[in-house]
Amino acid sequence: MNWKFTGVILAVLSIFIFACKDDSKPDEGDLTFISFDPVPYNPDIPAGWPQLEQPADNPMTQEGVQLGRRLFFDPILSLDSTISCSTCHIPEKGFSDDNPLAVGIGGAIGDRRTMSLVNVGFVNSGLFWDGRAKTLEEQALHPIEDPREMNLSLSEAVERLQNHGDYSTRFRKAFGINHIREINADLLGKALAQFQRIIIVGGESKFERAMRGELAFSDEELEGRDMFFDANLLSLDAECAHCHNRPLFTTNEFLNNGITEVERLLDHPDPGLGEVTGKELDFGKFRVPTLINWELRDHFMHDGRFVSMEDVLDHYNSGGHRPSDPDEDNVDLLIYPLNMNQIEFDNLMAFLRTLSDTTFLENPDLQDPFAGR
Amino acid sequence: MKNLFLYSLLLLSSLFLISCGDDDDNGADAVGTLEIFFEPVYGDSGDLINRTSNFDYPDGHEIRIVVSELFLGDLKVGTGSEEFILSDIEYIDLSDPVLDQSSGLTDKFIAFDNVPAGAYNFLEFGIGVPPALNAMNPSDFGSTNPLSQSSLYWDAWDSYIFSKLEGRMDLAGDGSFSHLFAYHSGGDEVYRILQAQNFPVEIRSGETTRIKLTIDHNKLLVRGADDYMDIENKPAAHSTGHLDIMNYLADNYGSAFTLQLLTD
Ligand code: HEC
Ligand code: HEC
Repeated sequence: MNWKFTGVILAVLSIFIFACKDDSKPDEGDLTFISFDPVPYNPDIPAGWPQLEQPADNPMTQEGVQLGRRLFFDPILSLDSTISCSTCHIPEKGFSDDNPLAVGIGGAIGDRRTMSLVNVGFVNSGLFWDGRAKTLEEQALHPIEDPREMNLSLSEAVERLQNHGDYSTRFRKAFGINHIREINADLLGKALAQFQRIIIVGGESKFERAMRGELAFSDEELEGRDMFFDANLLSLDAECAHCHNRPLFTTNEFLNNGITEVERLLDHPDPGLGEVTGKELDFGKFRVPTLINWELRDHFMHDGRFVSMEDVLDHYNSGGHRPSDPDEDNVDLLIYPLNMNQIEFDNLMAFLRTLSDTTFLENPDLQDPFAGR
Repeated sequence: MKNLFLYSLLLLSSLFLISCGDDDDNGADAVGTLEIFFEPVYGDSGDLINRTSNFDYPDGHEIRIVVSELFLGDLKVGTGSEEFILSDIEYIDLSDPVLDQSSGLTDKFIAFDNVPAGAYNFLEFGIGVPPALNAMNPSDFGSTNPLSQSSLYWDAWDSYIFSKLEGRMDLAGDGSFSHLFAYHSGGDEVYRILQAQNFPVEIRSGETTRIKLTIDHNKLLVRGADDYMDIENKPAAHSTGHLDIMNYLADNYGSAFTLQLLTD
């Protein structure tokens, strides 16, 4: 008797629920009513520069780049909403910062200096100082989760974006998703990658302009250039271009340039590439950084040990630290005492100053979209 | 009668197939693989080069070979009348080779798939970047092509770096090997073409043919007891004007290379 009674109640209830559902408004997460019509983004690449390669499944679009730009400058991606990518990668600092070692959430200090993101889209040898991330898409998710950087779980990051009206619209416009549920870490990485690929800097440096014949090098700069590129038997070979070759002023190789004084490979305080490959011979190797816009940086090398280009040149001039046991030595063979005199030193400095180009600061696509708020 | 008809039909169609194959060498099965295994050694003992291995130099000092890299251009196999281009450019890093004990081969090799089956009798390649490609520069190539690497291009020569040979000499004789040397070469003038004539290479359909290419670094640096690269006094060649050093090395490649067909 009781049984029958419950059955009837259930039936009535479910009819009620169904009816409710039928009457209800359209799904709130639905995005299909927003148009999806992305416009390809064609970045300006200086003549003679490498091809900017993009993954087939993440071509740059205006909408994708602009979404990535907002995400890059938005502290929403950090646990306490205080830190954005641009807290460390500051445009005015050449997308790096003032600190010798990176400072993240709550003042946490990292192990390495913030890398400049200048021309990061051209890096094809592996990202980070040690090459541990293969693509910008993958890389972008590391700092978000890193407890000493932004310290936010990816699921929390995704949830924040799904519940954010403006972002959900922008994800629809950039990637054609139909529902807010489709916003995920993969698309977050893609948008950030698209933005970072447009950080193309250096085409208007004095160096590039002189190479194009738009203006002339001074005598000192010319001497310094010949030293940098080992271009002339009469001037001293400074060997720089072997590792910092034009046009990007890096070959993107992983090398040991002898800054760290160790007697054994395994003694390197930061193993760099060695930690990624597990090979002893890779200990102490780091990716060669670009020299474009070095004048915007306050610290140099992966551990920020030098505070001026003069310090850096003193290092190369001295030949750096080479372990006395050749079996433990993976310092590149082009690192040796250069014995520059003061005039040569100054000429090289003069040339290095031709590598600055701050015109990118005027590129509206690279500016903070929240500025002035 | 019926049988005969069938038979001739079969014959006809097989003739047709063969002639088809002749027209466009696309017969799905008629290709094989050619693998070239490199053996970078120093001296007649056949010891592999390595950054920690010591070798005698004719000036009485010991040396170590730390870096050996080179471009190979226009690799081809051929018969008297025909040739097949295996690749227009390859880059091979011979430094610190690792020997696989079971096969006796190193980890330095290049494989060419889809080589038309046939009996070839020469193998040819250039040391360096062929002039037509050398007239281009890294921005002309996508990142998977070795010619896209800016580390392998030298602006001062308007040329790719054809080869790098770097090492250290124990000038002090105390085991410190602190005298460093680095010979880089490039420029069209330094390009050399080597052809192994009367070298029978048979590519069989669906099978792999292996060749071993030994490069004796002693022969690269040394021509005779009194004729060798002066590592002590001329430890570097990577700026313009060192053509004498580059040509010396380039001319030695011919005698430094030996080819051997590996049979299983
Ligand atoms: C707390 C400071 C900090 C924050 C915040 C930060 N980064 Fe970084 N970034 C670094 C440091 C430090 C490195 C180098 C780390 C290493 O090599 O281990 C780096 C490296 C990178 C690289 C590699 C560059 C190269 O040339 O290989 C990229 C790309 C990058 N960051 C993008 C981002 C993005 C995108 C965000 C935001 C989602 C972000 N970063 C947030 C400090 C920061
Ligand atoms: C053998 C390769 C090599 C040569 C030659 C070389 N560098 Fe470097 N350079 C590197 C590597 C590798 C690093 C990164 C090392 C690290 O952070 O541990 C570096 C870092 C630098 C930095 C720091 C940039 C930054 O943002 O941290 C500067 C500046 C620099 N080099 C300038 C020069 C100059 C000038 C010359 C010529 C006098 C030169 N380098 C020669 C490999 C080389």
